[in-house]
Amino acid sequence: MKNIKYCIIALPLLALLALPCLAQDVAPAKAAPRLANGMVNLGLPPGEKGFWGNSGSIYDRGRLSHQTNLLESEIPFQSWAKALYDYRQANNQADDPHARCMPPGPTRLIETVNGFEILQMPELDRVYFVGGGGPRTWRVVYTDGRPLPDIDNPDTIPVYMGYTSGRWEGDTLVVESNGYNERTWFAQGGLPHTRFLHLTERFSRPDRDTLRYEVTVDDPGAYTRAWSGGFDVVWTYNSWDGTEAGEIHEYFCQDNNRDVMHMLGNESRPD
Amino acid sequence: MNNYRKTLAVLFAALLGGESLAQEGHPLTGSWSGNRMVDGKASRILLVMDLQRDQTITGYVLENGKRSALQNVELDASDWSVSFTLDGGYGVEGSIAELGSQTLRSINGTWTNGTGSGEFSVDIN
Repeated sequence: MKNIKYCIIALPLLALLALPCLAQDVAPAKAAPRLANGMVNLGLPPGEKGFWGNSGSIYDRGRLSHQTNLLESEIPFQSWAKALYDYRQANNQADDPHARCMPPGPTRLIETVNGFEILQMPELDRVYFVGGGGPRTWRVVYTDGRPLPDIDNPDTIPVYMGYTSGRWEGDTLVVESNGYNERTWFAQGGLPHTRFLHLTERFSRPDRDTLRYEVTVDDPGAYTRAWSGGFDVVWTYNSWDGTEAGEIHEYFCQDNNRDVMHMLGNESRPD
Repeated sequence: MNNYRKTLAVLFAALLGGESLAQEGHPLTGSWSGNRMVDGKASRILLVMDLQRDQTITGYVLENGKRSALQNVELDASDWSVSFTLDGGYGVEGSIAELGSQTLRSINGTWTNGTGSGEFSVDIN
């Protein structure tokens, strides 16, 4: 009986004490920042710190990956592409060109633990994606209405980061790209692609701390049909090693490569 | 091998491969160079292969100044075996070695025609 009395008093008190915590949990997210001209700002607001950090994957449904993503087993690989993907998984992605300081490719640029920044330059009709990963790669998205090149024209030289044509649909940056060479793994995980790769990417910022990335992969060389996936990226203040600097630190993998063990493949797996 | 020695070995291999521009797409796509053995002598070969949208592989072999188109290129991804014939020439059966390597991928096998055969070996450029 005495215990019940204590509970009658203690429970409402505990509930009152917990209210501030609950209120924090349900506090509305801060709105996405905007540029002076009213456009959504996908990058760093003036006077603040931070950068885009952790991300998910365009397939499977991990923590930051979209829950509508295809599972690995559902990716419509061409038969050779599936065999090559499986080979890469079996050797723990030891042959990853990005681990050897090669450029990351478009999606991979925003999937590294080193983070990235987005710099909008509306007066120049372009948006820059600046990667903090080892090769210090940047990608430019042109928003001047230019058409994509004809990849069947032999004068179109395939390039690492592709040819881009971006446009704004409301607060969403939509990027069409093609003309990729085959010297990268375009996304994290060892997905093969060919020179026929055409990406349609959508970048939006539903709130201050979230960048939403959605991509449709259309590559008849490596996949039997176009497929889509995406992930969210979190605004962060911490470098990959946990340093709370609020800015991307300098890292060049050509010197002090932090991913050397990756190249050992299965030999780098813990026993 | 301890981790220190492994790391040194990998770094050395990475440095050696620094100039390579390997293809990470279809494993046959790209240019290859090597030899086929004819009557005990090596005949220098340049092989170029390219994937098309319909999954066919096109290309050619350049040998002794003569260019011959590839026909019937087949890749069996279950064991990475490769076969093709040359327009008016010999046929090749082989397999891809060092599939994932940026520097060491090769096709090794045998060429045959009606009267002869020999070793065929090319490395990715």
